[in-house]
Amino acid sequence: MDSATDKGGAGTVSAPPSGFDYFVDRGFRGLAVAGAVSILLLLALILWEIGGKAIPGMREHGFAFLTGSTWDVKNGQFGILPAIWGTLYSSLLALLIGGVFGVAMAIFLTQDFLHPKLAQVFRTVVELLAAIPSVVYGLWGIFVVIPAIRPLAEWLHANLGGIPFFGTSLAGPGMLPAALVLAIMVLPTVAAVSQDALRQVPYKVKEAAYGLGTTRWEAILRVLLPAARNGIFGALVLGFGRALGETMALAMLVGNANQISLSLFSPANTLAALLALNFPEAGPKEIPVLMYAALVLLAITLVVNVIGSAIMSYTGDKSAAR
Amino acid sequence: MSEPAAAQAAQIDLPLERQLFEGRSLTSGILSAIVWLMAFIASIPLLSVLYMLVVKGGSRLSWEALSSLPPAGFETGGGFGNAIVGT
Repeated sequence: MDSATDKGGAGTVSAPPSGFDYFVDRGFRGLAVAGAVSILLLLALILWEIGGKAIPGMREHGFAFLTGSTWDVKNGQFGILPAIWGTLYSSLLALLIGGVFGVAMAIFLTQDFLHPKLAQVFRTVVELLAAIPSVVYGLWGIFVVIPAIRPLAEWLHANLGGIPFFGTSLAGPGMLPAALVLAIMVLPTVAAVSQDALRQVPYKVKEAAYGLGTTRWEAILRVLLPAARNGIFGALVLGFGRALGETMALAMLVGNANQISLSLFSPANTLAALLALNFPEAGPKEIPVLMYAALVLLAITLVVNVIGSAIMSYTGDKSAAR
Repeated sequence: MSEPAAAQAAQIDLPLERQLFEGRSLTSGILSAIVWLMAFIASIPLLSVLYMLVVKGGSRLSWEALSSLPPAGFETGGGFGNAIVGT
């Protein structure tokens, strides 16, 4: 407390830091470093724990685990290729739909299409989509989405059944309802981060474009989006990461069938759903296998994020050089 | 640009006003319409979720449902107070 009175003193303008000041400074620095290091340690601990428990499974099944497609607990045969396929397929579909809508939403909300107050209302609505729990999305998918898309799905299957995407009929849970719900869950993330990116483009740039005589959309498509593309790409990577790890809604909607199919209407499986549904009744034989699957999911997510940030830093350097 | 050329350009009646059905304006208008449509489609899920919850669950909303314990098997009544506290 000495230091405070020193600084406040009428005569003295400055004083050397007291011992207490040094103590607070060093102490805070130490706490901050400890906090940062403990995050890394936590990640390492998770990896070590999952990896350690997965080793028996890896030893027993090896790479065949990644390419096999049967899941037979009785005979000890495990393969997660269908789950890997389902994870990537559902996430890509969700990113395609959610990404297009999310970026459109970001443009809509930042480029003066609405009165600012109304835009704020709309923004809140989109952010509320992120606040809905994933179980509620699952229920909504079962009670609303599946009945709503059933007629369309049946019509598509009956008339365009030759196209692999419509190759099977929709029996209930399946890839399309799962991907639609996942797209809605990804949308708020993509929209929020893209909005930030678009808002960071200096207003002068837009004014200059208008000054050259562009229409609103020429300015958006040729000036604003290229300027904000790094941030928008980051938004898509974040959205993809969320889609890969989403568990509950997919476990309820994807159908949990171990099959690989291009068809949008056939049931499928994802890694996260597989883990969530098999862990509760997993025996000692299954746990190492499930840990192995968890490690694969972790690796996929990590690879996606690394590729994303690599591409981002690559394009970032190029635009910085201009 | 040399002086005579500039003078010539000024004499030619340049179409500086944008016409409503000119290609560029039309593209811009169509894209705006598409974005409006997409924004409304994107806000449907939220309304739909709220509608589903209120229509299917609103009638059972009461103080009892929020506060008391789940009923034993084959009984009606009760609620999910324990789940709310747990959450």
